[in-house]
Amino acid sequence: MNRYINKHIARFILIVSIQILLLNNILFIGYVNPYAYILFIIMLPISISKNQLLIISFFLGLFIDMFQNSMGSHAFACVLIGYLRNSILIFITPQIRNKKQGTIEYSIKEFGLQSAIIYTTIITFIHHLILFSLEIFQFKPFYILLKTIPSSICSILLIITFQYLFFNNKE
Amino acid sequence: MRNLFLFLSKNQNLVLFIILESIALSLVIQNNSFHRSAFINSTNGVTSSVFKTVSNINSYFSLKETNEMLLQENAKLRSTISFLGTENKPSEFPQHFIPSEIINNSVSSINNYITLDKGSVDGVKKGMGVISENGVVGIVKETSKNFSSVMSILNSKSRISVELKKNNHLASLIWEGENYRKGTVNEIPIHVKLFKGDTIVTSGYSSKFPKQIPIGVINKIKTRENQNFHEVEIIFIEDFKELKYVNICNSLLEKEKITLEQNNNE
Repeated sequence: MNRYINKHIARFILIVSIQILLLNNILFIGYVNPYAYILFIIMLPISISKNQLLIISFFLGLFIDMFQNSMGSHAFACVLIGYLRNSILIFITPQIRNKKQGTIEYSIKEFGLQSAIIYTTIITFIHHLILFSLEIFQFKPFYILLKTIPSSICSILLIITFQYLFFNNKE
Repeated sequence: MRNLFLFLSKNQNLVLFIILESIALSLVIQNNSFHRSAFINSTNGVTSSVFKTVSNINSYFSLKETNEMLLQENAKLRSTISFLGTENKPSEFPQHFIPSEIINNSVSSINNYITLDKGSVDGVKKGMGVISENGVVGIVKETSKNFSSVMSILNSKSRISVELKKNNHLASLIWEGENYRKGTVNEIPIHVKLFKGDTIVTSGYSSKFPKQIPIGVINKIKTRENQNFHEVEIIFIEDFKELKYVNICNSLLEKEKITLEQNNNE
């Protein structure tokens, strides 16, 4: 169990530093800013209790906020996807309900590429939509979508690639 | 009462969810008012030391460009000195500049902030203006001992008093959050004739910035019917993404000016 926690702490540090040091400095065409750190929430074990999931999401968001000076908007979006995550997973792959015992993890190998892409897309889109709406803090639907869609596509591609590269092998 | 507790323990996920979301939302709202909460920003110890290390490494890659820039600036300063020698006229607002290095910069969000490596120890105070060689950068929002956080002009809450260089018409500069190279100038009356390529400079009325610092060049003029003001799109001369070194302006007479103006209102 201890080894298990260590693995997740290492993963947290890795993902957060990639986000802060690399991805926050990328800016395509003035609109695209990928936020791939939500990979951490996507990859958390399915068996984790919902309260833990919410608190971890909140602190992950707050951590990114500290480095972005955006205060609260990442935390808000993260807690929301943390709350919705399990329902989305069960909705996409109903067979998960039977496997809830133990510490099974989400991975592309386990669920197949198609459902992994649908799962990632829904979560990323919700997160980005909420995040940009909060940052803009005005009712400008067209402009919000103009920022959300390109960034979401970029983040989704990054998240799927990361999963293939680093987390697909069973440890 | 017992039923309430029963309800809470049954729905503890939902309750925790609502509590966390309201904390986050209150942070967002607090951020939108002038007083930002003191500890969750990029001037605190941990985040700024990370930024400092990264910026130290990054600055090695741009040494050559930096040197060239410094040479150019030197030349420009020398010419200014010689010009002053002949004219010998005292400037209206004595100013003192604190040179500083940018250790964290962003141009991608709606509200961009910049972190500098000078803080209250070096004499930086809230409300000072920050300029670079090619224009205005922003206003200091928060300082800690060794670092300060600057609200860039690429921020939806920023509003800077500017004027037209050719005839000193006052206007104000805002940023609409769409492109980091383009800003919007409002409040130029419709009877003023504008042309593409006119220069916009600081007005000096706010005394945070020196007078006549170029900011941008007019790119597009939108005039709607039945409106009394032009809406002008400008292109910033400074490329904020490549910014590395800036000067913080410490206007020596600003306090005196503000006290005088406040006395008028009483």
